[in-house]
Amino acid sequence: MHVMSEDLSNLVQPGRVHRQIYTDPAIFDLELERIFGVAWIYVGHESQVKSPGDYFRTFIGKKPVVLVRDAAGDIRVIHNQCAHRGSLVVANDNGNTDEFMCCYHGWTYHLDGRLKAVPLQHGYPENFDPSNPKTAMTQVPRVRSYRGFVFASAAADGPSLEEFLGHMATSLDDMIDRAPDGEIEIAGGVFKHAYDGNWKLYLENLCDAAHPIFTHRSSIDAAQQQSDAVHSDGTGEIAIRQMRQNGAPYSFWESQVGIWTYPNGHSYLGDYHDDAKLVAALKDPVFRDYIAAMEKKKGKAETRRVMEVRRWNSNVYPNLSFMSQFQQLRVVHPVAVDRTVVHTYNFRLKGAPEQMFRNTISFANTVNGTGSLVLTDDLEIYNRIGMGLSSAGAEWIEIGRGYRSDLPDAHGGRRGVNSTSEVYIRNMLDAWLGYMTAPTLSSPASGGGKYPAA
Amino acid sequence: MNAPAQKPDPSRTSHYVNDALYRALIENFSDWQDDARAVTDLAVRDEFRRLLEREARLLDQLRYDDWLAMYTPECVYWVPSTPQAGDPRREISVMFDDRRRLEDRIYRMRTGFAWSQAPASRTVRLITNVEAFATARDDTRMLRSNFLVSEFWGDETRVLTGWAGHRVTRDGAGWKIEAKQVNLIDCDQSIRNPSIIL
Ligand code: FES
Ligand SMILES: [Fe+2]
Repeated sequence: MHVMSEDLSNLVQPGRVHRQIYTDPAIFDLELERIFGVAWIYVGHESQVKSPGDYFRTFIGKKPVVLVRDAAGDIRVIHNQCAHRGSLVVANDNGNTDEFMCCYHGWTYHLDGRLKAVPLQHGYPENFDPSNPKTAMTQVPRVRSYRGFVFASAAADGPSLEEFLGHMATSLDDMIDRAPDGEIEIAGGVFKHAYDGNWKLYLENLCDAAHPIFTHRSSIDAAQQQSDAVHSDGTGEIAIRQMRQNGAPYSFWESQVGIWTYPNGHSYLGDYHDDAKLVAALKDPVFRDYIAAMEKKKGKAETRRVMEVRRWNSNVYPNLSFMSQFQQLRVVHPVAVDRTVVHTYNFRLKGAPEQMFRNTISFANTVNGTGSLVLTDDLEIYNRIGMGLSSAGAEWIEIGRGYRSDLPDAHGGRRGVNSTSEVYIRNMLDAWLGYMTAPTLSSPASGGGKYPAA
Repeated sequence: MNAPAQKPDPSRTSHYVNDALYRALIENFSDWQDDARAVTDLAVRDEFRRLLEREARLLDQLRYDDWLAMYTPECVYWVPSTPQAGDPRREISVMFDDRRRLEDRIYRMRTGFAWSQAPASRTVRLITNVEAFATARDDTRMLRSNFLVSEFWGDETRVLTGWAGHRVTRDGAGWKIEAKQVNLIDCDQSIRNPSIIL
């Protein structure tokens, strides 16, 4: 089936969207090409490849790629595909190596993807030139790091990463600014989640302020019968408070919490928790030590400024979502129109008390983890949406809450009059439509990208 | 004479989840499957086999109170997220529950609003290859068993499999479980929504 731009424009209308964009395999294929083949896609964090030879295997859309630090110390993103007959070259999730070797016929590659050696080279035609950049694990055309967060674009031209991020870069800043030493690193392993539903559902849930009270009712109830005044190793209470906070009355969501959206589909839910409520700022000795470390490195005024940034989930469309306040980050991998995999990472704040990272781990285990008390409900919801949308019983999905009350934002975005506005979904779908109907001038490169001078 | 100090309630506080506990846990769950310390007495081994079979039955029957009663008050339930099972303070776990969190987990399922367990999964557990090992403590043994959980949920049956390590300690004439480590063979992969107790 061929999907035309006009058809696509009809699927996204003011305040509603057609279910087809979540269920049609042809549209999914087009998304891989026109969104994941063009936009800046989050690939990984520099701390995952600290030393030359460190590599990390991931995907851009469905294309297997490798994030690697080459011998010169530069970060590269190369297609995980042998130039001989196309086999996947790197099969381990991560590791350290001085070359990549294909296990089919033994072609080897330098860390930057250039071909190193070919067995039986005499057997190839005379014009076979191993130094020809075409016989390489090809580089993804554009790779940039924003303060350690590595993004890649499979399109040779387009907006710069900074233009693409716009004001949402401040959420990434917040993640880093919270480290007394100004540096963060991925640590503690990765949660992998899968659900039988479309990739867009994931981002649409993360800023949804109207769902916790229903979806997470069981963990709200469990947390409400636990007391705050518990003695513990300090790791339990944050999760308890978070689960309980999910049960705050609508009046709270409609007065205290906000939702902000920006061009290119980005958004964040803010003012959900302040550190005084959640981390027991004044009573918790660990948090006191942390503040002291921050003030020592950054001064009182800057520390206060950082602590007053209160962002819950920040979404960088189309494949990244993170909680700067709790140092967690999720990467969305579209697998099929009705199948999505999400990888969740934790960050360590350098210069912060070790206990802070333990709190992050404990929070992840209880709230964001594979077998946690909260995320298991969300995963079930994604499955149910996937099943529900497969029916043509109702063709249109309502995304109109707050439509008439959205407000302009000082940084070029739109925000909801309060957190319960569905403006973040409308904003993502605006970006979706922009990508999907853009004239395909620069055909998204599928591996034949530029080869930079050595 | 001093009045005995009030013992904190492990259902309400995590007072025992401290560095000493983590250190002991890591030590107890490393290098314990030593042939030289294997319990060879068949009658003793059978006693442990019955304990594990009873645990499996109680979980299959959703008899959580009876199941929890098989554990010491200050217990740990741990499903590592890596096959090597690193330090749970610094490495995420699929589940890492002290008694308080374990009771929260059960409380939650009983509310009827834990959507991935409403209705509850039906499970059948096979427990095999039971081995017991002596420890440095006279009153404590380590048990290794393989498990295969068939879980019917939604409209399909799936299988969760792996091996478990139990640390059991003398309790009168019987034994109580101090810590259980559940090692799923796919613990570091996308495990579809593991909402049951393993
Ligand atoms: S396919 Fe890689 S060496 Fe032949
Ligand atoms: Fe949720």
